[in-house]
Amino acid sequence: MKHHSAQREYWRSLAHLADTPAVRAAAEKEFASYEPEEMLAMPGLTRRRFMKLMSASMALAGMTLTGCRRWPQEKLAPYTSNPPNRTSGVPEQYATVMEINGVGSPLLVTSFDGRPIKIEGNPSHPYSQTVANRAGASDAIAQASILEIYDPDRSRAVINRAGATQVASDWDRLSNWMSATIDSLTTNQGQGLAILGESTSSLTTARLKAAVVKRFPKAAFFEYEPLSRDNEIAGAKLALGRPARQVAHLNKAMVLALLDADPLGTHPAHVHYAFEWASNRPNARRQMSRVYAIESAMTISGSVADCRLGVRPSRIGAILSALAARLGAGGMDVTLAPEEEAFIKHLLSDIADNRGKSLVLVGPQHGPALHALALAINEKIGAIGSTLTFVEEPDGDRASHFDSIADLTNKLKARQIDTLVILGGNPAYDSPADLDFASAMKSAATSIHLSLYDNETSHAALWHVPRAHFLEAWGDCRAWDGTVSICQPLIEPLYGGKTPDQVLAFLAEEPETQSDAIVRKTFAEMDDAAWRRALNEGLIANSGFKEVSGQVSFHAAELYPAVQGYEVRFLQDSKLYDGRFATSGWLQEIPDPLSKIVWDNAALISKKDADSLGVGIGDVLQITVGNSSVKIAAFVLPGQPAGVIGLALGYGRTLGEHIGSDVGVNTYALRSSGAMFFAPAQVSKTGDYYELATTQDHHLIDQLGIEMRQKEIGEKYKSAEVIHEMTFEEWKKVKGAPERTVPLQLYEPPQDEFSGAHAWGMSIDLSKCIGCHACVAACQAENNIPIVGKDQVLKNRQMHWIRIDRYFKGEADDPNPEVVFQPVACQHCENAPCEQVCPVGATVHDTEGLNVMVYNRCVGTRYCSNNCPYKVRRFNYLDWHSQDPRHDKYPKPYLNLPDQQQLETVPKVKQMMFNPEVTVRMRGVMEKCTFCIQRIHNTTISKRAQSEKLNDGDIMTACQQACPTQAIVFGDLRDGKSKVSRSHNDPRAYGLLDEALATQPRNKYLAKVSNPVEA
Amino acid sequence: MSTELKETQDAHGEESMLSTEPVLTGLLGEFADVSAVVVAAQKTRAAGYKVWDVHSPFPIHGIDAVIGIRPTVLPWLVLCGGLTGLASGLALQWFCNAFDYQIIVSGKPMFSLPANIPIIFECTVLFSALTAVFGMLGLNRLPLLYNPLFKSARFRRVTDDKFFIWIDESDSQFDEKATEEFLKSVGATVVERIED
Amino acid sequence: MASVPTTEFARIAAGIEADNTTDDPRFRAPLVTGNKDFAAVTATVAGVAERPAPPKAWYVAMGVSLSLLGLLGAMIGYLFLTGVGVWGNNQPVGWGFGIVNFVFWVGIGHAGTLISAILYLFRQNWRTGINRMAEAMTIFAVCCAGLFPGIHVGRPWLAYWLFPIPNQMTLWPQFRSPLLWDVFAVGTYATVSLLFWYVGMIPDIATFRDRSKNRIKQVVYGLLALGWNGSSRHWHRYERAYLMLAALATPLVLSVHSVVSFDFAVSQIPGWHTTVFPPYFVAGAIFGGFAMVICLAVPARALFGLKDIITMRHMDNMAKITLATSMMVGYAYMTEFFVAAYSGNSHEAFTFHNRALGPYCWSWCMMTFCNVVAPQLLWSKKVRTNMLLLWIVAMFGNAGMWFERFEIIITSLTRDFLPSSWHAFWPTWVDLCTLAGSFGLFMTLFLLFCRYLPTVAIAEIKTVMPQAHAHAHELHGEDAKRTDYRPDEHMDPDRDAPRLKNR
Repeated sequence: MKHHSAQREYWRSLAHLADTPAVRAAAEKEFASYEPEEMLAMPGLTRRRFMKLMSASMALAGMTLTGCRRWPQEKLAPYTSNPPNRTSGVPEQYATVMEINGVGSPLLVTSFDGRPIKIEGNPSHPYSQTVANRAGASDAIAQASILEIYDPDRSRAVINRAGATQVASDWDRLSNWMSATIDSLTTNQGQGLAILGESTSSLTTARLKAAVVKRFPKAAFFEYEPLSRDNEIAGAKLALGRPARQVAHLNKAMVLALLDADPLGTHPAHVHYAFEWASNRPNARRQMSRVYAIESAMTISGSVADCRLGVRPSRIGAILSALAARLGAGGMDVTLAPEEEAFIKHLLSDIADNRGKSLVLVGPQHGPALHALALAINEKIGAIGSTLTFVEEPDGDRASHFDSIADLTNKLKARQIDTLVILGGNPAYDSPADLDFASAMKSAATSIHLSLYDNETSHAALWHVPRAHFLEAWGDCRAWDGTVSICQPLIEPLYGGKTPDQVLAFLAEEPETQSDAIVRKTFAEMDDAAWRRALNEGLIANSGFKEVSGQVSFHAAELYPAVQGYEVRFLQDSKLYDGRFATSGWLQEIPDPLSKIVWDNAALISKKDADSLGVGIGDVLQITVGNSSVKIAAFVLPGQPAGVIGLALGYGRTLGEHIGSDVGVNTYALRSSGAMFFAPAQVSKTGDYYELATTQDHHLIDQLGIEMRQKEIGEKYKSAEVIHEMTFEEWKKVKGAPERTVPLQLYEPPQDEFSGAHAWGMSIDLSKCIGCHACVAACQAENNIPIVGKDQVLKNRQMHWIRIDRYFKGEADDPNPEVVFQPVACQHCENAPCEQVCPVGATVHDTEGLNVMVYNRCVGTRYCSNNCPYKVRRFNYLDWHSQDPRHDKYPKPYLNLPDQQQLETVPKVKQMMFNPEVTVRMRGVMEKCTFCIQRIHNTTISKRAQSEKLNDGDIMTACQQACPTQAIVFGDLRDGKSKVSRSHNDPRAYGLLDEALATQPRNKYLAKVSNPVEA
Repeated sequence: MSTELKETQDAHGEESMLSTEPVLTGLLGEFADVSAVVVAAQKTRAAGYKVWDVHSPFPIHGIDAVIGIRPTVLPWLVLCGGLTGLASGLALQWFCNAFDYQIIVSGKPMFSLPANIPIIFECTVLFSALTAVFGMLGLNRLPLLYNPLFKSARFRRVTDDKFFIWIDESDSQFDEKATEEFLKSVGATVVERIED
Repeated sequence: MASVPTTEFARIAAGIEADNTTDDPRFRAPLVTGNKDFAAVTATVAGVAERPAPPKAWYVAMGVSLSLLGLLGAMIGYLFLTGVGVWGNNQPVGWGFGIVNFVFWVGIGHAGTLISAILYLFRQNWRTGINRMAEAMTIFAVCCAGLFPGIHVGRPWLAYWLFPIPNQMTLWPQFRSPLLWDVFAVGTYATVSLLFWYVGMIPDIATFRDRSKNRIKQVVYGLLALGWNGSSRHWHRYERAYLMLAALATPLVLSVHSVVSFDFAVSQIPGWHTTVFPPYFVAGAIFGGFAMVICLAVPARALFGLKDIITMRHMDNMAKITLATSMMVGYAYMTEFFVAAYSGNSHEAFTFHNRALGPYCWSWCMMTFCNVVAPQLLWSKKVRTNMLLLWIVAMFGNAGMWFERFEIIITSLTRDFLPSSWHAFWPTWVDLCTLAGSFGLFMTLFLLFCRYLPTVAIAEIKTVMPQAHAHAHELHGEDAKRTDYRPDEHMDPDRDAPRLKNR
């Protein structure tokens, strides 16, 4: 069905407003060229309905490509009456929340003329607040949900697969069918009814579950998440005697020991944790935390740790146990390898010096016993109550996700279930391989799958039901600390989806059928004022989980059996999470923070193992776990522990729609009930080669290139041209302003040229950047940046305006190399090398010091890009918005005026996504970071209009706003007290390549401060 | 001298329009080689003819002195052309970047001579070259697609291997018989009447 | 008139090509062999255009050239309808084949004007045999060169914005950009070369006019000849104008490739940002240009029977210049490495390390071999006078110069300042077909020229023949006082007899 012309589908989604077949039919046929007479002639279509349709349609159609030079021919219908509180063209912001794996991330969504175009974290919520009530940090996945809602591939209709033949159906037939089924169920109290859901903290869902149980006492509920954190809950249960959720306070932790834990990268609360972590790197009191990471994979947290030790996953138990024993927290002391011994020696001494300011965290992939032991250690070192607190875990006594799915599968196989309702999720793809859930589903007489996409599970089910996107629907969920947020829709469901709550309400025969009424009923005790405040602020104050306290009782560690051969470690993907976001082109093209791989997953392998196997990057390995095996290309990742193969989950989707299908390798095939996170494996070389696309270090596979790159980077480190670094001890000594040594210049640059009212500048703190790529996604959403696809990334034509350079320090085979992340966007040099070489003056400076790019003047000589020493300029080699990001080795010619191309070829639904404040670039023009000039000017103009003073922090670039650690600071250098001026005068400040080229960048980096152990 | 030649040709052009019968425009003497035509030219000049010319397949060296052609004014024209080019090249760049539409580029001054030199140079050369070519054509009254000489089949070999002395009938000393005799006497292999 | 030794007849009869390459100070070697008089010279050159049908080889060559030209058209069409993305260019490598080919063709386009202008100023009479062909080649090479900057931009339909044309936004070009200097330099060079070529051709077109029997030719050539009638007054101004054009073209030809080299030298990419570029590029251009002239002259003189006019001596001299300029280029290569090592600039040093040993070392080796090693063969006169060997060496020169440009542009861009941005460049099939197509354009134009225009400067070549000079003893009056005789004016052809005999 996604082969229809986008325009037709788009109109159909509107026609759904008038839910009669006549209108739908007419809409299919006529709306594309709207003829008022015919429309009015339609049966059951009143004039009022017509105006409603037209105004709605215009609201949507009005926002075609603002950026095109030649204007499209448009028929316009005016609002007959302006809706209240809306000025067309003035963006509005609504608070809502996005839930993943039962944890909500509070969001603030910018809506432009009725269509959501940009996502920020909710600044008034403690879990995305960074600078008090200013920025709302978020992550790449949240940013990319804007793309998801406008994805033309989303399922648009109910589908019935009776007899394995796909039949497009509709709501009427579905509800008729369901009523029939439900009637039959009522007779036997719901015997044989099973409902499988995703993990959710929604109060409404809980309420409706209860209602369903009330109606069908024998109905069974199941819950599954492939990346479950149940081990933590179970661990707390072991230690405290009751399920509890651990809330870490990293801002209080001066010594942080991470055993396979990744609080900054993969933890549900990572945005908040990253902010807390950054506050001590170093903090205002000139103190600095020290992070120890002992991990079996290269994680974000590990890459920014001060001391890191890569080990096999099976060693974690032993090390933790030894740690406990040495700290007197019980446990038996085990003999450790020398390097492990040396490592924990320092850790122990630091913990001893920092009682009450230390914290030990264990990753969710390790068993309950290890978590319990870690809690015992934390108790011993005085962490509990200061750096670690407990709150109650909602529904903490439920069966763990892995047990639940196994239980369900067994029941299915035992034919105890004849009606299976699956609310979201994709168990047919991501459940343990040994269960073979997909075939088990068949044994249920009838099955329904509610999902955004017609995915693997939908195809195994009898009915597929389109789900409403969270930006289209009402709901509620709770953040990590339990604060309740209401999820409110920004737009009518584009494709008429329903929420899980609506389905449950239907089963429970609730009177309410609309999602808003359903949610409101949950919070019936709130009066309208409180309700509106909750919607406005995006949270219900003081609704967090209650703190729980309890005596931590010691439990012996489970020591994993030692593994001699290889071990595979299954990793939560930094972009696709568990694979549910594989359909998002933005996320597919955002590089992995460490490997920089896009559009693929790979077998991450250490240099040592690669050499012993005789493989290099791209050589295909055969990896066998138990009796299932996969073929996957190797990627030699510095810092990957020897003996461990890292496998990211979430790839190799077979029904991931156009974007997500056949990207990477499905590693769930190796993941079976016993070993959900790591397992012993056999690895062998196949001799095949597969080209992996990375956004950095590509095509340097020739040995000489690699050696020279090492040498080159080494020299650059020595001459400190790229990365300035200092240790905490050195930093404590440096004082005063940074000295800037520039080569002799031919003439004194005429500074009077930058005579504007402001002097915009930016600073990026390298010791705070964790390489999470939230800024990249935020920039992509804010600035209408296209994706280009794997084939083009192989040609290094990706378009991201801000990229995060990742440098490994040390030799290629160093087991624990230091990692530096350096976000690089346009440096806005005052002596910009790009400007002087442009023959048409398409890139010039404004008086406020911005290096501005004049798209409609650019003829595309690409000379500016050649002459840019930072290579931050991006060229539209093709019309990326019109090109197919998959399989476009031979781009298609376009036989009309080039600047009409996007209008004609970009699906209308996707056009709704564009930010109208930013030109959508056509092919043949150069583009680059503008410091979000549209935000600068909107704010300055509105401030001037209200004759208010512009305060520091009023203007935030998209990257700065999204950054969880606030590594990026933007502001006015003319204001001496602004944050950015202060950081420009910080002794750590330096301009990239400024010593060599005297470009005088307006962006300054703050040298990376690390806090290593003095040998 | 060429001026006079031109005028007389024009005069004949008018006459030919009035009267249809052919009118004598001058006599053409053909010579076999360079030495012959050079010697003849010296004698012609000595004989006091004024409106006459030597036609040859290639420039004969020394013939200018023999006929007494004064050096052309062309170099001075080219100098002026060059100076104009220099000035306009400089003015163009100053007007565009430093005066009419000022933009901040690489923090550089709006007007800086070093960056402007290449284009100034190119404009100078361009203008000079154009002046040289079109000045030459202009002074030579070219293109001149009609010329009574082209009526003579013999004269076609002037671009091949023959040499000619042309004496115009507008010359004060011109007398059909005497001049024909004279040309024969200085070694013309053939003497042809050219009518218009 | 000069009496000609009978042995020369025998030699011609025997079909032995006269060797006039020896330099004997006692007498001057003839520049036109084969006992030609004026009429014979005219007939030989005009014969090329007058013969009813060109040789078979011409048709074959024309067929190949036209199909390549068609390929070029197709590639440009695909490019315009799709975008520069059909080429291999990528993020660090903004300039790929487009600019490589541009610089290559501009370089080729230097020999013509150089031979015409500089050799003219230096009174190198041997130029007369080859200057016309070289000038034509220049024009056609510049056509190819001009094509590429136009099509390589992202929005070619707006390329005219590079010209200072007033527009509604009163926007002007940005004159600090070397690309704009290019526009003026190449534009001027094309114009001046064209004028130089045409002015030189006027008397010869007149010759064609006067010889042609068919009416159409008479009209067309007649229009082009502008009514030239060989008047001494015309010749006088004509020679002045030609001399001044030569004087203007000489600095111009040196400036053009200097300006082209500024595209790189003025930018700050390591490996580009060097002061040696202007002389280095000019030397390279002359080298490549002469190599191309040789490549064209060798077949042309054989094909159109011009061996007596484009003689061994001409080929020999061109080979010598090629050798000399190849040494200059080699010197420039060494200078680059020396400066890179001596400057202590780590970026510069790395770039040259990378050029010689990096992933593109093959292009560096090709360049060095073709431009520096192979031409050393030209030290041997055997090679210089063996047309096949000479042609092969010259072909190496052409290839080498293309690789030089590839190596300069690509290796510097693939690995510049920030290692994070390094990326390799590989051409696509469109790149390769476009390059091949540009040769189609060049060859088509050249073949048409050979067929329909005077391939040799007839009038000029006559002036360097002994018969062109009145003997002094026959001159008197003020002419006898002249002292500025050209050395060959009083050459007594009889003195050639002994040398021609004793061979």
